[in-house]
This record gives sequence, structure tokens and C-alpha cells, in this order.
Amino acid sequence: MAFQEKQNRFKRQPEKSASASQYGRTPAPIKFSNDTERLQHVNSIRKAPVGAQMKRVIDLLFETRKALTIEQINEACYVDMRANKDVFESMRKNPKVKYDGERFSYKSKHDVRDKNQLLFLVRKFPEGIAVVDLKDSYPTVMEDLQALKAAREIWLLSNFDSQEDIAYPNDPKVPIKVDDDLKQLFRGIELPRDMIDIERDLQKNGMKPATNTAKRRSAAQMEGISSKPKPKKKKNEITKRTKLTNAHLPELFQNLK
Amino acid sequence: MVDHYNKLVKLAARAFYDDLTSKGENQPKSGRSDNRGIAVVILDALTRRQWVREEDLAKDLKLHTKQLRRTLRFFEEEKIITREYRRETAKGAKMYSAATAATVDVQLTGKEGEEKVKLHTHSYCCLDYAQIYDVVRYRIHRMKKLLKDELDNKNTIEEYICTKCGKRYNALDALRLVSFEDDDFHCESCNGKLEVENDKFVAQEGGDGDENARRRRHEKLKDMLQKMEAQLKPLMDQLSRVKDLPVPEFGSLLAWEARASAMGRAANGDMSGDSKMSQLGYNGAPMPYSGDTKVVVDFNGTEDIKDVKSETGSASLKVLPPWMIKSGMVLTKEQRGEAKEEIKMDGTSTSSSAQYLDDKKSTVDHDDKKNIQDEYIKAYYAALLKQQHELEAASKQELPNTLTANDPSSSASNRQVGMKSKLEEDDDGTEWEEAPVAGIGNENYKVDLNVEADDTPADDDEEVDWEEG
Repeated sequence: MAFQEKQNRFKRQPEKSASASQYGRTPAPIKFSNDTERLQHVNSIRKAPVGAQMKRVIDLLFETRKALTIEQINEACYVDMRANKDVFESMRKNPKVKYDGERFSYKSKHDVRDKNQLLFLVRKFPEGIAVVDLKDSYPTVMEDLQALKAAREIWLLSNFDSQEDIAYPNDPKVPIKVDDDLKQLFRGIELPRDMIDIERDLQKNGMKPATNTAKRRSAAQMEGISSKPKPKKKKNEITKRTKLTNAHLPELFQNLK
Repeated sequence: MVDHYNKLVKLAARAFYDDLTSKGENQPKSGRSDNRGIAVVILDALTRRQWVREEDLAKDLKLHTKQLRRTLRFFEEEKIITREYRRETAKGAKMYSAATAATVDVQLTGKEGEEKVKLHTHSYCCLDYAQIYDVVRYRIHRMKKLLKDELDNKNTIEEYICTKCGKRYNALDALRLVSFEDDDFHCESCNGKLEVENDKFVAQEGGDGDENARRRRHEKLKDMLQKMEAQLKPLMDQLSRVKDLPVPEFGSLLAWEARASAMGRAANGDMSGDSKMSQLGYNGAPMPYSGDTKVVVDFNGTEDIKDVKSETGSASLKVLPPWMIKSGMVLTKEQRGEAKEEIKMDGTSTSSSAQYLDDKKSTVDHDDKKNIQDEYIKAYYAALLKQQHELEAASKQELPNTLTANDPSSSASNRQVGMKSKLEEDDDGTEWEEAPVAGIGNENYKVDLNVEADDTPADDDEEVDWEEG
């Protein structure tokens, strides 16, 4: 919170001085005790290790997403890169920071600024792009990803191995939306185990089947592979005789045979 | 052609499978790991591939193998994909993709005392376009039939389904399916008990006799039929679009592999087949499908050598160096260097061997030098042939095992070969290697230079580390 206040104070500083000069009033004097506290805080920051100071600067750049000069950084987070050459050099070489000779700014992995650019980037990766790589692009990137998912522009899948989301583009050339009841009806139609039965059914209804299962099977036999459909194994269902380790949870076994 | 079928797959995936998750039925679907769309992502990825190892596909899509396999198993049951399993060495599996794995008929055994190579089962999958086309049509047709029959109250003919194999029968088949043991209907293929297929559209209200409920149900069915016509229009259009197109068939994994490797070798002009990655495109992606290819594999090695032709046969034949010419060889005049002289525009004549010279250097003076050289070469060849005839005559008198190297004339011929190479340096920049003249014992067979020699020498086998499996 203190950091936020200082940042706000930094933003408001020019306004204060301008208003003071307008009305001919001098700004209210700072209490000595408060100033001592502030100076002690500044001193502790400047005596901190290089890594800690760098983190403060990078956090500032990440939050503001602005290109700031050394003076502006010093005023906002009290890291004086003019005095500390090590911090300056490390910042200049940092892969997450861009330095143009005058100003420092945050450098994200992908140069994306808004939702349209985000969608354009995801479409470049048909095999998927990790959301981790997109997270630091701009502050509202996660909301935009969810919005694109809702609009069926992208698919967001989570890999349950690493619990990391992957974004895949949805092909815009294939626009089709089917109601859930039709999907259920389609998937509810059981297919005969043997493809030959489907072929017969199609022929019976005046449709020419594209599959020739008999031909395939003869070819497979020549190669020495059996392509006969395997009968489904019966699932080991829980019966009353099954020894249960979690018998204290009766709600799990309501439909026992 | 494949693009049209790919679009059909994409449409079917988005129409019927876009709400599938990779979670099991009994697992709670938490908001955190919502995997709706995994089916679409996988099917889309398969439209960009042919046969692919499942581990590779999971890696490419950054998905867990378990997630992928669960979805693929579902699609296999839905007859959308074909899967094959193969035992292969871990090393081989890592090194080569499905398209490049060698389809060797003979299993090579390792040296004695060598450890057995561990074999791992790897699964491969591939879209089955023919089955997809048939299954989608079959299901849509049955959907329409179901809805229309319900609308027309055509419930008089009951439908039966086998609980074991899923085969369907109607009441008209009942006579031949009735069992005399228990008076039940039994399936003719697996002898499983048949059950009456449940009515899919029994109203939730439960009041079957209620007129309002029936009317509501009728309205719902009508609405559903209209929705189906409207929403499935893009899919139906695509089905009619691919109707007359030939279906892409990749065949079995083994056949596809053989075809892919043959295509790769043909594309590279490399018939030795030693470059394993030759048939892969950019990023190791398999070669695109290019029609049905008939592959004839001759396992007995009974190919006729006469059919083999040199790739350079069509090009102009090179002048052979003297040490390669032996008596009994069938050579053209061009190969002997006795090509007809061409008359140039400026009146000077040059032989065909001068065609490699730079245009800037080809002055009249240079042409004269060339003529002298050509004359010398012709005379030299004539002398060489004469010498070989003499050697043949001598060999009949001497012992058959005597080598030409012992003969003083051979050293002279060797020296001449060296001289020849020096002279030809000005000609086309090639320097002939000095080689010993072959012995008399080897001169009896004919050599056809149009038959291309094998790339690998016979004694190369010692350097190859064969791996079992």
C-alpha cells in the first residue's frame, strides 16, 4: 500500500506545485518526524542488494507499463540508478527490461497491446501457446483471453500435468453452432460394433458407403494384422459382496447390484 | 481434395464434440481444469497430420499423454480415428518418426552375449476419413428418422438392440431371432439378449395420456427437426460437397510408412534410403498425401537387374580414362573419345570434349592446341588397345595366375597413365587417379557401365552396429 501511495504522490506532485503557484500559497510544511521516517526508508532501499532494487524497479515498470527515466524511477521507488552503477548495468542487461538510452520500460515476451493483437498472436500458434507466456503482455490479458474463449475465438485448455493453461486458435472458417440437445441426440445414437453393419444400413437407405471394411480386412490379413473388432470388456462393477475400504461413505454405494 | 475432408472433420468436431472434456464421467468437472474443446483441438491437429505417434502428438499440443489418450480412445469407439500399436525399441522410437521408421522384413539379431534390446509398445493414430464420412451420414440419417418417426407416431414397429454387440433389429426380424429355450429374442451374431430400444423422447412431464403433454412433445420434436435442418446446414453442404470426391486413404501404418519413405527417397533422388529424415517436411512433419500409391514390395529380391538404368544414361557419356578400358567392354565412340567433330561457325573444328571450356578462353589458337591433343588421345587409345590384345595373346601362353604387374610393359603403361593425366589437366580440370592395371585373370567378364553400382561397398557391414528388434 505504501508503495502505491508513493506512486500516487509522485503522480500528483506537478499538480500540487502548479496549484500552489497559481493561488500564491506555499505547500504545507512536512513534519520532521515523517521526513526522517521517509529518509530512513529511502536509505534502507538504497542499501539493499542489487537484486532487491532491481525487483522494485521491474515491478514499477510492470505496473505502470510506461517508459520512465532514471529520475522518474528514483522519485517513484527511490532506486537511484545514477548513484548505483551496478543496478543500472544489471537493469540495462535484464531481458525483461527495454532501455532506449534514456528511458526504461517493461519488455514482455510477446509484444501484444490489446485483444485483437492477442487473437492475432494465438492464431499464429495452431499447436497452442502457453498462457504463462501471455500473462505479462498487458494488464488485462487474462480477461481478454476469457472473453475470446466465450466468443469461441479460441480454446483454453488446462494441462492437468502442470496445471498450466494452453490457448489454441479456433478456425474462423468453420462457423457452426449446434444446440446441446442435438449434440446429445447425435452422440446418443449407438453405432454398431462392426463397421459392415453401418455400410449395409447406408446402402439400404440409398447412400453409397465410402468405407470398404471387407477389403480392409483382407488387406490387413495379408499384412498379418487382425482388424476384427474386439469385444468390450465388462466393467468390474461394485456388488454387495465387494469388500469396501470406504464403507463409512454410504452415499457412494446407493446403486449397488 | 483432402482440404474438403478436413473441413468436414472440423465441422463435425465443432458440431457434436466441442463440449467434450477429457475428464472421466465419474470425476467432478471443476472450473479450474475445464477442458471443453479438447476434442476439437485434437481433431484439428490430426487434420494437419497423417499417421502420428501419440506421444509426439501430446508433446506438440502440450497436453498430458493421459488426457490425449482418453480422448483418442473415445474417438476410436466413435469410429473417427484408427489406432495401431507397435512394439519397437526405445532408441528407434526416439530417433525416427512414424513416417521414417524402417520397415525391415528381416529381424537382425545382435552379437552373442549382447543384452536384449528393450521393446516398448508405441501407439499411433490417424484420422479415418472414410469412416468419418459414413458415420456422420449414418447418425444424421438416424437422427432424422427418429425425429420423423416420433412426429408421425410410427411407434408400431418396435426396435430391438443387442446389449452385447449393439446390433439393431426390428419387430419384423423377431420370427427368426426367437429362442426356443427361453422364448426371448437373441442376437444372431453374438447370441446376446435383445432389449426393446428406449424411446428417446419420452416427455419429462410423464403424462403420456395427457393431450397437452402430447401436443407439447409434438411441438418440441417439430422445433428440434427445424433446428437440426438449420444448424446442420453447413455440415450437410460439406457432406454433399465431398460426395463425389475420392476419400483420402492412408492405409495401415506399415503400408503408409513404406509409401512415405519411398516418396521421400524419390523426392530427394536418394535411392539408398540411408537418410532417415528424408521424407519429412519442415519441422519433421510428414509428407502431404498425394493420392493412392500402390506399393509393391519384393521380399525375395527377385528384381531383374536388366531394368536398372543409370541416371546419367540420358546425359552425354563421359570419355573414359584409359585405365578403365578393358578388352571386351561394350563402349560407344563417344566413350572412347572418337566423337565426330563438330564444325564451328568460324571454320575451326573441335571435338565434343571441348564443350566444357569457357567461352572467353576459346580462341582459334586454343582450338588448334585442342586438335593436337585430340589426335594424340586417339593415337594413344589405339596403342593401348593394341597392347591389351598383345597381353591377351601372351596370357594364353603364360600361366593364368601371372599378374601384369610383373610384366615390364605394365610399368610403362602405368607411367603413360600418369602422363595422360598431366596432359588432360588443361582439358577440363579433372585429374585422373593413377590406378594399377587389372590382372589378366579379371579380364574375362563384361562390364556394363550403364548399370549403376551399389552406393555401399560390400565390406561396409563391419562398421554398422545392428540393433535387435
